[in-house]
Amino acid sequence: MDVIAQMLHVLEKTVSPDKNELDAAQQFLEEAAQKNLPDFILALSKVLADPANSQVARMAAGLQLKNQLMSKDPAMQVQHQQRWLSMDMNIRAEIKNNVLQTLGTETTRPSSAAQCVAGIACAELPHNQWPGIIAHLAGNVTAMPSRTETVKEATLEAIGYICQDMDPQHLQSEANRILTAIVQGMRKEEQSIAVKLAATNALLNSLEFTKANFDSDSERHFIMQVVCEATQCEENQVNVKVAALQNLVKIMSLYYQYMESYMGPALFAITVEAMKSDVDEVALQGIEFWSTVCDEEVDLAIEASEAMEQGRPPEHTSKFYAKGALQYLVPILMHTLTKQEEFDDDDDWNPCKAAGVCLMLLATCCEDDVVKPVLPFIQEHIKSTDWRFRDAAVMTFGSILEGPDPTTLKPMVVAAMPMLIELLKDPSVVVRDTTAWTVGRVCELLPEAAINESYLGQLLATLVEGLDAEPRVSANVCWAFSSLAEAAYDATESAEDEPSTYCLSSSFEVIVHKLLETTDRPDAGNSNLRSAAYEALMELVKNSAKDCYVVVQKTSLVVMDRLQRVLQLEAAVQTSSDRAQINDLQSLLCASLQACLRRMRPEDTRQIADRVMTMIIEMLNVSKGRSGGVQEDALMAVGTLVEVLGTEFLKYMEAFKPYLNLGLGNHAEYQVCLAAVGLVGDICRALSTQVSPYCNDIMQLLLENLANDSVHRSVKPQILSVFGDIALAIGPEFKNYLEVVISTLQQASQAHVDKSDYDMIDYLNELREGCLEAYTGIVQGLKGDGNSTAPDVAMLQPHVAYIIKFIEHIAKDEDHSDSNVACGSGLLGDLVTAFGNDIIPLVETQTIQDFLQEGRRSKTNKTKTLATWATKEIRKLKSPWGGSTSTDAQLCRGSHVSPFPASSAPNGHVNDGESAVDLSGSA
Amino acid sequence: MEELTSALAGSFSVSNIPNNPAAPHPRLAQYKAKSHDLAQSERRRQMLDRQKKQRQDQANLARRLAENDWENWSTEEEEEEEIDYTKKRPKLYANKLMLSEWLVDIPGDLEEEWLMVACPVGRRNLVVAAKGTTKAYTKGGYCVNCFPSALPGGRKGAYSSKEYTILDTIFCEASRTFYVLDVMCWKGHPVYDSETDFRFYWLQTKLQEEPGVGEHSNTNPFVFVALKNTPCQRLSIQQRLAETFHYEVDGLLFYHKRTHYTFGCSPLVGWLKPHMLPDILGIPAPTITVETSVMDTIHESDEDSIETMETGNTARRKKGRRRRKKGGSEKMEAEVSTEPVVDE
Repeated sequence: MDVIAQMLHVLEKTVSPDKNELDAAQQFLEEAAQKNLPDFILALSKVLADPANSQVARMAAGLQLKNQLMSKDPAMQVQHQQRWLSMDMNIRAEIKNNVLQTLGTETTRPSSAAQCVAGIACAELPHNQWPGIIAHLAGNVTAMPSRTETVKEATLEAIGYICQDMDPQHLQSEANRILTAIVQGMRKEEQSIAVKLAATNALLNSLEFTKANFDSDSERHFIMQVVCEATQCEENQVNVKVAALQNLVKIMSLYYQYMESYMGPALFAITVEAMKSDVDEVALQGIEFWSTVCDEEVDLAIEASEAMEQGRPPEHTSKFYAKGALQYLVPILMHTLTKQEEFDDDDDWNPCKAAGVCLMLLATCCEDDVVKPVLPFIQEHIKSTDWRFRDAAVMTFGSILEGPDPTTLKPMVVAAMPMLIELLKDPSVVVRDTTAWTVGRVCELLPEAAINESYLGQLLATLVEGLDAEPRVSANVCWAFSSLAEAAYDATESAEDEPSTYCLSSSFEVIVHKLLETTDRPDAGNSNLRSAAYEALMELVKNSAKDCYVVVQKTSLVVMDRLQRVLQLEAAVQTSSDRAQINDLQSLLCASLQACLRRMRPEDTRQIADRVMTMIIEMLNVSKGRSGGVQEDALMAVGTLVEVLGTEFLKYMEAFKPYLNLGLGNHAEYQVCLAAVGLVGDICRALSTQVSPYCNDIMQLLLENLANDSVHRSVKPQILSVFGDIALAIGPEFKNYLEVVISTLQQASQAHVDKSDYDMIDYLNELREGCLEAYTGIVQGLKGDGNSTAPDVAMLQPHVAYIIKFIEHIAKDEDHSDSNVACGSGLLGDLVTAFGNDIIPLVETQTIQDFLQEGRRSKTNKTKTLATWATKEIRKLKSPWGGSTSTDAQLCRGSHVSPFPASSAPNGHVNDGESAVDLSGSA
Repeated sequence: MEELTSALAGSFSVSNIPNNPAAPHPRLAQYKAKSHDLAQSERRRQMLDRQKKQRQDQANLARRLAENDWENWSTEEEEEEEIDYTKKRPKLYANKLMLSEWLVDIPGDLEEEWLMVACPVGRRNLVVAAKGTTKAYTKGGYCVNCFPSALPGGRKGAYSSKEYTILDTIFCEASRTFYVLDVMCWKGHPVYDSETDFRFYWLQTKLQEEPGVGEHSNTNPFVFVALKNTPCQRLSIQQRLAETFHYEVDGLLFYHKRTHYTFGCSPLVGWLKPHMLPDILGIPAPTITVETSVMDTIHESDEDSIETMETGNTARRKKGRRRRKKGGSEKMEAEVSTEPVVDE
């Protein structure tokens, strides 16, 4: 049989209902790809291009072809693209020609040829290998006389895919061409809906790299005109209308600053009309437009207040569109709130939900202004006989609780609470749900209004009843209890650590009991009820007064019994959903146990410590390699126990050591690794010198983690800090590790990151803080806490100049954090105390003095105190004995390190070659 | 055919259907959103914050509490920066004493693991000798006395910033004596994190070695006397209480040998009145003899000491009530009488 004919046959079988035929077809295709990929792809392109072939075979060929070029896995995708590029140029040219010819010849939508064109373009364009392609595609759309409708449609689809999938930098030079083609397709003169839709979708994907076009007034006017016109197209073109509105939303978020001339004449009217539409998709886009405006303006308000603090004008300013439109938007939104689904699917997105979110955003954005326009609606409908209106009224009330000044809201809330308590028992589940959520928000945002004496008792009783309601209602009640607990505790303002009693004391036992029951409800898996109930339980325990102690203690026993039972269930686990449930439960129980342990008296904790440790070790054993979440919570629970037991934890160290080491070596689940690293710090603080027999293993694992680039970057700063904990714990014994740790710190302290990425700036600051904390622990540990400085500290002397240079380096980086200043100041003070006069000249530089001054002027007390202390330590040395600077000059000159060249390293990463530390943040 | 179409559509995220129902809308999470303070990610953050704070506290302990320096910093701040005068200066030494709870449940390891100290009637004071002066603070951190002393760091002349001393004492005004219960820092060496055993040993030997602290003089107007500690075997307690005391005994403190010096009430320090011994420990009520010369000068017992020693919480009080019914003690009665007696 002819190759093509055979291929055709096989491709048709890829949709066969017969499984054997299907498998055979798949196998054939895989083998063909393996045997000779270029021939295989060429054959596919021939099948695709020939209109005589069946549509099924052509589509299947397109899919196979595209899959040879694209993958959802980015690493795989790169591999596919490189494989493509290594193919013979002539074969590639033939394939490209075939797919381009296919555009417009297919009878099915979407066009598979469009995807093939995009797949090849994404591989070749970044390497300048298909230079004419964009011009060719644009020509398909703009050519005169006009190409067929299907050619234009498929071509615009291809352009849309390319715009979406390719890094915008490779398209900037083609922006004009692309935009011209798109706008051509979107014009109101365009008769074909399909072409218009493809063009509008393509525009959406091109907005990010057409900034230059938006910067030009005339081009922007033209684009805006076309988009606005597209929103006004006929009823039968609703898809185009929606896509055009989507464009407006995205344009608003990308080009807010340019919207002033369009807002009044066009955008406001277009979007308000869309919000009122009976077509959900249209209404959703209208609402989304205003939600986006709020997002932008909230960001701009933050920018403005930051700028004011720094005494400079903000770069971008808000035009306060939301405030201006508020009175027109609010009635529409509230009306939309009455269009609830009676039996709501949690995942559905509809105008009613969108309106709720939009109202919340408007409240955050417009603050006090939102109150007046919403009040009449609430008052009129909160007692309506129609549940839809009652619900909309409560929803409106709940949505505006954040934003306006709490003092404005408080009297309103106090007045409304009795009504809300009533509505918690409303016959409609939708109303009950919304009310429970609203009460939860009151408890969180305006707690003083919630714990008002005149109705607190009634509120608590009603909430306890509410725990029996439907899961989604009950979950909101749990949330309300979480917030109430914290608010009640804070309200005591007790001078002691723990108030002797508080306003929840009399109901505490009942609430806790009911919450424990709730976690056991058979339907607790719905609406996150089980987690919500456990979280509420934890908050209550965490925020309990002294007179609730017995209940806390009892709770700890219940939690332990449950944990034991869950562990016994392990063996019976069969399905993966059982597994997930058991894991969640173990995590929650572990966290609850932690909350109890933190609250219990040490002598009571001591009595259950053996049992707790036995269970945790069992948990770590069974969850090994199964659930990182469980491991993490188990390790955190150990941390709590370590804190409570102090040196007494020593007796568990032998048994626990293997699990600690496993945790430290868990590179795949970095959260587990992170918890284990933190736990090492806890153990060091608790055991002090007694931790030393375990240090060799621990240090080795920590150093391995630092050097391993598959360990997630967030673990690394923590490891550095923990070096300090170890050094402080074992003091002079740290000598064994000094050399390797110092060189590690030196590498870490030279890290550079891409400063355009805020996350990376934070990461760099964390990393530096880790270094500072490590140095601090080492200096303090070697110095000893005695009155005379131990001789061991001299071992650090050769590195002092470097360390101070490092602090200067941080000082000069304008992005350093306040916390960096605190740690740096503390370290300077420690160094001065340890090394005395010798290092005075090193710290007398302008940079260091400015750094300390910044610290003294910090808003944070801790920073202020440390910087003042360090300054004082420096002055103390200078004043009575000052002037002896002979040795220091030598010390400065002797410093062999010049770590930070003035022109800091390229924007890349730290590592060159065989570094012991990988801090590239790649993981 | 449909499968093919969806396979094709699925691989590009562009979709011709707005608000693709397959994926949750990005704003859905904002609808009726709840904050989750104790979700795992949040618990994780809290844990890291706590660890960071503890790490920094530990580092600061070595830096700050050591130096009796708070006031100096403040003046310096005033020179350099504007300061908010409305703010009270924080009391650096507030709540820096280890206080007891009533010893109502007899620990199983009392005989092996605990030490007893017989306490004089007097005021509980934290004594800080540093920078050439000695200051006495109440447990609330209020400075009640300032004087020179022979303690390391406690008087001018022998000045060295490194030499400072912090002691836990009971001040007896009549005999112008600070009876020293515990030592937290000696000559710049902090021992907060050492066990009772060691601190007591350190207290006994160091105070003895320091010349002049035990004698009244111009440069040491108050004397410092280390209180003796005794193992807690019944016989040892009995023997100790049969000795002649130089002071009027207020009560007995029981220290767990392994506890560090912690701030605030500790369940590892217990407090009993001598007359409660028969009831609680089954030891016959001791007849305490006090040197007659001392008796002459003794004043009324002091409110402050009562306040200092009384601690405890509801659970303990309830147990205490049970004890009271059998034996009874005026002190405990006073303690529980504020609470309604519900049961029994």
